[in-house]
Amino acid sequence: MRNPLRISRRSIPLLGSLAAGLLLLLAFFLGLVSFGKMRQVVTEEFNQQQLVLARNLAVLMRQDLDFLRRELLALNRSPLGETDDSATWRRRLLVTFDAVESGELVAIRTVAPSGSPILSLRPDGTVREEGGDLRDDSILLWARRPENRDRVHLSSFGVTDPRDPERRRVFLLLSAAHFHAPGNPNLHDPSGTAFAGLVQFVVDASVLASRFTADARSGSTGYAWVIDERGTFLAHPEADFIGKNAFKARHEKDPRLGFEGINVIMRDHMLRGQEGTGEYVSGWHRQLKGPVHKLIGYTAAPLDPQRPELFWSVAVVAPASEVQGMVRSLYLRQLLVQLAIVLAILAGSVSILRRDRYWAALQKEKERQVNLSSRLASLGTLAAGVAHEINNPIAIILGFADLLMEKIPPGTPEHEHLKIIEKQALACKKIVENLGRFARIPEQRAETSDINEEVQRIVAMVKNTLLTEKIRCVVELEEGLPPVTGDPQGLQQVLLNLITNARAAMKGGGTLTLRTRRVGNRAEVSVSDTGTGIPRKLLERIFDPFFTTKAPGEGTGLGLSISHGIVEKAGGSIHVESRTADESGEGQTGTTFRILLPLASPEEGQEPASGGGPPSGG
Amino acid sequence: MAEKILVLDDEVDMLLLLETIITSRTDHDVVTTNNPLELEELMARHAFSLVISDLKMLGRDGLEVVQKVHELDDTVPVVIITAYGSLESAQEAIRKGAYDYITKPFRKEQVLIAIERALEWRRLILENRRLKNGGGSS
Repeated sequence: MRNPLRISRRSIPLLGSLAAGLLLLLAFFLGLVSFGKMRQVVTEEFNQQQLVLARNLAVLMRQDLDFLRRELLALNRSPLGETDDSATWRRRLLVTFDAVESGELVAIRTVAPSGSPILSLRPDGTVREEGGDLRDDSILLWARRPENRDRVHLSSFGVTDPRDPERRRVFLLLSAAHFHAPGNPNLHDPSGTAFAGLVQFVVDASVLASRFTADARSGSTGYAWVIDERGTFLAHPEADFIGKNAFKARHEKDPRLGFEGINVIMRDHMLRGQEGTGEYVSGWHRQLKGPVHKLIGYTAAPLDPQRPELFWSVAVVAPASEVQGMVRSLYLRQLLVQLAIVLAILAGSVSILRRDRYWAALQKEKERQVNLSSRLASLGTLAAGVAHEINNPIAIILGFADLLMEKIPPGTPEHEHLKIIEKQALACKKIVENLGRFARIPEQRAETSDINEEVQRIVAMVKNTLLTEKIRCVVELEEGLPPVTGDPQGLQQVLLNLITNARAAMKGGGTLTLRTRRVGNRAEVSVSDTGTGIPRKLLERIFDPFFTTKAPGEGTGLGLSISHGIVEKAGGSIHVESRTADESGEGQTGTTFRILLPLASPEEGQEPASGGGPPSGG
Repeated sequence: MAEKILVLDDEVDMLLLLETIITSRTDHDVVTTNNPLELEELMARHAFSLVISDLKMLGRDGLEVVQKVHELDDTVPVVIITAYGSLESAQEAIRKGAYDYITKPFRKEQVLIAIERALEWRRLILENRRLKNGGGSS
């Protein structure tokens, strides 16, 4: 039943990552969808703003017209001189020109009650006589009606440009009924009852419209334009368009492109006096060429509440990229946040996975050690029991050998034989003593050892033997290593054991290296050989008691397990690395044992254990 | 003075060894048995001055022997000779009343010295008792 549990534990981070990935994909798609929606909303918002701007422009234009109306009425009411070119009259009219300083008022006219003559005063002071017109007839009729006395009549007319038949100049005509004192045609009397004709303002529609649209801005590059009820451009940043028919002007500019979008908007909505928002594709935007997706807000600017058929249409347009820029930055920010979250999740999962693996490995190592310890412990008890059992026979052998040696004269072969018997029995005793020590509970007081000293002692002992076995001995000791916990005899025993094993591995000769160094709060002794190495499979088991690769009788298999016990008892640890011919390939085979022992007093600095070497100077 | 010594051990050869050691070097008499349960019977039959015993024997534990001997005659010292040498067991044996503790394998001198010391101790104890009883006894 353990298995399912173990699988799910290990794959939780994996599943988590998968789930996170799926969620992210979902979020991504939703993000795209919301991007579209966002764009729509923002576009609509933007367009609404454009609409508001258009309305404002319409209001401004209307206010300007109202101003002109008021000026006209004011002029109408002020007493005038005679209707011919008297200086006073001219001066009065010029005052009005000054009042209307924007240049949209191009002429002030007076029309005789019969419709002729028509005198026209220009801002520069010149007067012209113009021919009568049918249009004026209807206005005269309107003017005669008493209810229209203080009203202003509005009409518009267009004049084709003689130089360019495609161009029309649009004018507004504001007319007011003019009365003079009865009996005195020369005296203009606002309260007079005699109809004296009309006083008119001729207003350049383009100038009026452009006044307000010229500086209009939508976003950063958007602009405004105005068309009249016939579709003639009254105002446009493209000066060339002004006076041309909107449908034709665009097409002329770039015949390759169709302007269906804007044409539909103009025809079906703007020219019907509607207001609203929309989108279309244009062939350019200001200086930029190429299909440009544009947003438009438009409204109607009525000129005269009495005449609803007279209106202009104001449009405010801007490239959709203005909006898109805004939306895109929002979306990018959102994307970055998503990415950051993903990266965080990924990083988290990866670190969890690695940590998991690390803990699993650590767990395994701990288990192995516990297993080893318990195995060793039980074996130890067993070994202790066995050891003591052997003591009996050994004692008897030794005892009788001793007694016999007393009886048999020394020098005789029999005596020698008995000595051999005694010697071997003592050897058995030694083994048993070791076993006993191995099983003993460590209650003894920890002594300390100077590992450099012990290494040197052992090396001195084995040096000659090594030479005869053609083994080169390299000793590298770190100066000034402080003492470690563990009794010297134990350390010696361990070193001797390791060196014995190393010798056995280097039958034809080799190099034996002994090193000591400080590693943090511990000291390390390493014994390395260039022998045949220990295969990885066996490395785990070399510390097991009775484990040996030697032939029966050659060794007990206890050396390493005893060494392990001694090191552990001293509070240290023993590690091994090895490379056999199969594993190393071209490299050197060999084994290295590392013993780490805690320093007796970790606070001690680098004081040399004894005397210290000569100061390094060369 | 020739005393009588009782030796208890599982192992017959060990009994022979100890007997040989003692008789070849001293005048003492030795009685041996590999059956520790015979202890009471033998002590009733002979007047032993010293008992030498192993610790781990089938049938009876060495510590039990120490106690028993003390019960039967508290002037008789018990020397433990054992293969299971450990500080703990030695301490325990001494606490329980053993006079001395020798581990196997041993040097025969160890055994001989221990025997002499134990017998000396007994002589002193006996003299002490005699002196104590001597002041007014029948």
